[in-house]
Amino acid sequence: MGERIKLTASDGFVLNAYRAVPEGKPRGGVVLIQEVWGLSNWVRAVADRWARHGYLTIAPAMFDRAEYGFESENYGADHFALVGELMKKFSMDTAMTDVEAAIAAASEAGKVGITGYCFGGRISWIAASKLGGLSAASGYYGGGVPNYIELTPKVPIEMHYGDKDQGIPLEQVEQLKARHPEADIYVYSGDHGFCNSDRPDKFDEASCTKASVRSLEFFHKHLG
Amino acid sequence: MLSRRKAMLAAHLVDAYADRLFTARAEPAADVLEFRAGLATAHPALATVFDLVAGRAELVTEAVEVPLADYGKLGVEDFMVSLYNGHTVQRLRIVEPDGARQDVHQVLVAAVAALGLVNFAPPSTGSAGPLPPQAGEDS
Repeated sequence: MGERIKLTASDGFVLNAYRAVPEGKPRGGVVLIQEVWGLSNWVRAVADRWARHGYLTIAPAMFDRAEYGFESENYGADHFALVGELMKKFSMDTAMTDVEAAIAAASEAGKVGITGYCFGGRISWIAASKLGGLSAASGYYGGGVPNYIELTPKVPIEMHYGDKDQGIPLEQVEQLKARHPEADIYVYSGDHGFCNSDRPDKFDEASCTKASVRSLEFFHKHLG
Repeated sequence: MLSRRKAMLAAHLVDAYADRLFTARAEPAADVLEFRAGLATAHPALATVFDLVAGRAELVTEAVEVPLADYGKLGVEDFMVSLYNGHTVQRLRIVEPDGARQDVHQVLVAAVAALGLVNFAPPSTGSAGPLPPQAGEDS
């Protein structure tokens, strides 16, 4: 269903992306932000799923500025140091520039929502706070809550977290909920990455299904 | 699980278990404080837990930088989150009065292991195991 494309950011940088097109007239556009593994098989499958639900979906390769074309299916610890080294070059400012390019590409379908997992959950919150062109955001287990809790989203937003997440303290989710009563913040039974079906040790189908249905309903409500 | 609330619950349970060990001794020490002081001297992790529960130490959640050389030791969730948070991970740490910091999970694991090492003889009249029912409990 999907295809690999190139996006050109406002500063001229050309990045990779994955574009999934729905059958018939789109309900709207979705920008899907990856975990830390690039445009992996799983991310592309999620993009295809959003397209099946009627949304033109753009998933930008968010680490292309650090390592062009970076993608990995290896979730093992043997290459953590290597990826960590690559990510020293990552910049949140240019990441927002790349997200803007994805929003522009998705907007041909109408209103645009942003969603993403882990890294993408964090980016969803920041983009909803800083960027224009969005109508809703639905993020999953974005880590580093203290680093975004003071940002106020400009569009309706919901966030999904796991109660067994080893990377995100539950009290920080509680603080986020208290600080932003306007946001819909949900906690599910599950660990970090409970929606990634390519990681069977973390995947929780029941929790992911519940969260995904919420995201779909949220975008139906705010995008069309 | 990264939860300050649950870490404190575990610390309280360890603390309470130490008291029950005192009760279960065939020949109790002079008093429970003496018994606990002995445990704390013999097992630094228990001393830290006792300090935490008594309020002499504090439990904090903070970002801890991870050197790249240690990345291979991270859990995948810590790895993922650290990449976009300045190579830091969130940790629950015990801050002792002198400012020293220890990871609460490591301390709790060591404290629980220490409790298992405590050598005592159960009461000679008891037959229900090393921890007899307390007052008010069903036997």
